[in-house]
Amino acid sequence: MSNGENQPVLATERLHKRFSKGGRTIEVLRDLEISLPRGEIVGILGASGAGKSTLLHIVGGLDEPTSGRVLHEGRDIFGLSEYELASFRNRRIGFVFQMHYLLAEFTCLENVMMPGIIAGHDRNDLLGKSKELLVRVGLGERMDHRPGELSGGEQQRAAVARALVNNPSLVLADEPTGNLDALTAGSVRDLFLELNRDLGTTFLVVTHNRDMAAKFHRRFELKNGALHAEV
Amino acid sequence: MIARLAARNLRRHFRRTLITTIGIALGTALSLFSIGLGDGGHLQMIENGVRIGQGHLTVQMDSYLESPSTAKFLPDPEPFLAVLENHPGVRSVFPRIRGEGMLATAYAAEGVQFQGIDPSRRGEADLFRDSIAEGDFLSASDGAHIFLGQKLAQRLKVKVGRKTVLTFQDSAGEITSTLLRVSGIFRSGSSAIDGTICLVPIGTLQRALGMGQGVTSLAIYLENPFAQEAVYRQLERSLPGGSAGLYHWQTLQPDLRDYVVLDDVFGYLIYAIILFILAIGVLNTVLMSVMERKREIGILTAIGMGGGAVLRMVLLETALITLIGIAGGLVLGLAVNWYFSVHGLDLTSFSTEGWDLAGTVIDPIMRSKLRPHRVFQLCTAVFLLSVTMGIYPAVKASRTEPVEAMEKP
Repeated sequence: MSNGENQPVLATERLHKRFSKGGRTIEVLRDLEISLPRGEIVGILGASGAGKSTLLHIVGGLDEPTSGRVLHEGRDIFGLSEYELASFRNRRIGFVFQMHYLLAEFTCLENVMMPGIIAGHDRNDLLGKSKELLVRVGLGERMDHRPGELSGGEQQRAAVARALVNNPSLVLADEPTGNLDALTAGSVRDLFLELNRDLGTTFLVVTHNRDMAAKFHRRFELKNGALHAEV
Repeated sequence: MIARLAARNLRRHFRRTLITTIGIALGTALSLFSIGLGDGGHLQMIENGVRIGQGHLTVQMDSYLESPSTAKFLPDPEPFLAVLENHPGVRSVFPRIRGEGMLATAYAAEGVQFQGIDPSRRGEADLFRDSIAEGDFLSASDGAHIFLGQKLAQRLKVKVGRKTVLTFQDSAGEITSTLLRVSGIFRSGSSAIDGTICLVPIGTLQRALGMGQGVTSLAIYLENPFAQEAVYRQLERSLPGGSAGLYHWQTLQPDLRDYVVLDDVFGYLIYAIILFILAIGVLNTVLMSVMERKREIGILTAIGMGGGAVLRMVLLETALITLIGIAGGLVLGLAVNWYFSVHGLDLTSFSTEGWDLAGTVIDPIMRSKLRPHRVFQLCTAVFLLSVTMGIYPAVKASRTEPVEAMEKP
């Protein structure tokens, strides 16, 4: 398979996810199909429990589908070995979660550097790139602060910088503003839009906040296990 | 990066890390102390045993081992002495005659083990020479004197300067007696030794037994008792052949050998229990640390840290905590061992009598003796056991499912 520029960054084929719980089978995703061209920022809306996070985990290689395929730049990610999949997540995907999940013992700068360190990038290059990203997300003055010393919005900005440090082809954000007030949530949304516009990074953002997704290129609602495009 | 993560993980729960480290340090130090004191005690027992007995190595007739008798003697010890006295590993060689007989006075008679020694040789029979309770040690190599234990003297109701008669079989199998005057009385601390052993000048016994210049054995004392096997192999090649052989003390004093082996086995059991308790402590610390960090490990896995790297991180934490503990234990253990090697552990308050066991005297002041290879063995065992205990938490951590680990609280 080629991973050329013409391939969509992300494409799913008949994605199906079924959970068994207490003797009941729950169909979370039903033959779900989505295709994300490079440079798009797409929002997935839906009620709580609709399967938004499950979808994000599957396309990010954190969880496996019951059936169907996830193609990243044309490559089936579940055909990769465990080691290759970890490397794929590290180099090609950036994750932003509802909780920032920064490592409390490390400074803001060290947290941003972490995926690059795992990837084995040159330390000096990484340092420069991480500082540049922190300046870009507005944390130029907070690099040596620990996560506990940052506000909720700053923590989430640091998490965004961490997601971008390895130049991923796709950033997956799971309710990134779920724990933030409206003003801070707006600033994080604007940051996504700015990074998408300036860097051309592809974003897939799961949210239940319609205002958050209003300015995205496309929006889908996840309902009954399938995506429905919103106009 | 993995090393920094591991170090920070240990630092963040400083108190727990410290308690586990102290546990490892105390366990290591306790084991070192126990090994040092045990080995020191054994060395003292063996040294006393070989001083009373036949040396670290002994030359004697092969047939003497099966049925000891003064009839089985080396008629010409000179060729043996020529080799032994020129070997660099040999500290001293003493010709001896050993036998059993009856020692009688006007009041009583007792069965005794007599030893013919050369009192003019420096270093000979030091254990007895240093334990004089009354009178003097033997002076002339052919005088008609006897030097005996205090308990034996009491039973025979004999004092210094009084006469005794030693009766035994000579080399031809004839019963013969010799008149000996008590030169001195010793008190070794062992009632078994003080009640049975008497020393007689070797020349007197050679004459009485009709041996000429013959001896029943040559007791060989080594410069370094731990080099016994190497010296044995060298001497075995260079000593004259014939019907005489070279023997280890372990062969001639099997009771002492068995006691040391058995005591070592019990020692190992104690170390195993100490190490097992340590290992449980390490397992508990690392397992708790891994379980508490489930979410963090999940996020590291999500951003691309592979299972192998997580495994290495947890094992490194275990190794770090163990190495720090071992370092602390070494400092403490070596210091305690040094103190007890210089000052000794005084056990005299536990018994007014001396102790004897397995045909030797136990010094009431035990001195520690810690050899480098024993320290290395213990530290290696502690390290390997601890790291082994880290395998289960490490494997558990490496299998963390990121989605499950990062579930919303």
